[in-house]
Amino acid sequence: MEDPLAEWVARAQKGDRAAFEELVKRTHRRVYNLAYHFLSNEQEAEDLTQEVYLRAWRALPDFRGDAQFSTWLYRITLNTAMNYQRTLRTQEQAAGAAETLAHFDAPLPDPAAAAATRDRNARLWATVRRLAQRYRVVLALFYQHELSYAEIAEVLGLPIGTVKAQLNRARRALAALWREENGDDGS
Amino acid sequence: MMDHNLHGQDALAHYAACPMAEWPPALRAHLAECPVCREEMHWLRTVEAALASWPLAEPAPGFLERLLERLAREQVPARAGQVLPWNIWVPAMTLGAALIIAALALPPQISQAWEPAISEWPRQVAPWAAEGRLTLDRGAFWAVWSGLFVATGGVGLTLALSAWNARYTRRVEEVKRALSEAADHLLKMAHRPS
Repeated sequence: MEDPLAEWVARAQKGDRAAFEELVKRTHRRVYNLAYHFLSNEQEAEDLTQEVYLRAWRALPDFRGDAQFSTWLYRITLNTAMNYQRTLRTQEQAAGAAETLAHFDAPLPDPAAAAATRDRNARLWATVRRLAQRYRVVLALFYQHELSYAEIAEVLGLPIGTVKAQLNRARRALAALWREENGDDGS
Repeated sequence: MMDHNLHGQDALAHYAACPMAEWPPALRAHLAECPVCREEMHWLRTVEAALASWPLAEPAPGFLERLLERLAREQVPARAGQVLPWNIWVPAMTLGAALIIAALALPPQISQAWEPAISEWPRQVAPWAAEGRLTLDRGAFWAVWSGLFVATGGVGLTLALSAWNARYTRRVEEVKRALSEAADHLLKMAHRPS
């Protein structure tokens, strides 16, 4: 599949800063999102995102175009996050979910629908945060980043079968937590 | 009938993410008669619906500007005068080495037609061979010489092919397009009335 960012990547590889900035603009929300899933902390996720792009800029001449640029970035994010976690104390801030979720939703025309969506998304985020990191990451890559099984396998360095199994276990774990938190009428 | 073991429940999670039209009849039949799995499927489908519109975590306002500002301070990675990547120079060196080995291994008598045997070797190949302790007939010599050249060249070619990627394919396409345009241009010039 042709990489939609290939043209920008080729220019950035020649040292074109403006092209790299365009790549950053187009990808930073997803990189931040993935970083957030790893670290569960806004400030650390921002620091990690910055580190990812610094590494990507330095390593760009070595990017061979075998994978999509975004997949390559996610791999850098994963490796950087692993290193980051080794040096930083990982803080699970379960109580801070509401504060973190305050700016998720774009305004919708119907206030009641918007409120319901916001409420559901807030509950979803709060529940996802209780999952193991490997489940959070695989769910994020599949549902938010819309990667295929093969692409997720490439990012995580796992066989496709393991990715599928992990995704199914993540769904089950999430469903169990959702049921626990939302009682009989969770939908 | 599906049971309630781990495998069965993983299968439920898989089908919960699929449209109902894709559910196998056995699953439908099982869900119709098993309240435990029906309950499980209900929660899986509820979560699936929520995941389908799961928003990204958004960075704080001004993050992009801060990020770009930080990146602007970073040096451009060294490209000017940069040595070629290993996957280019290793195959090139290997092919070059193959040619040099082939040239050095060429005995002086090779230019004399139908020499029955080769006993004089250049000193660069090996002193013991040059002292006349190695004698090869012409067929054996060519077998060794060609084998050495082909094997070394093959290693170089394998390395080069393994280093091939989409970027090179794009470059080849660009070169082909440029050649085609140049040929068109030349043809037009040739047919232009003087």
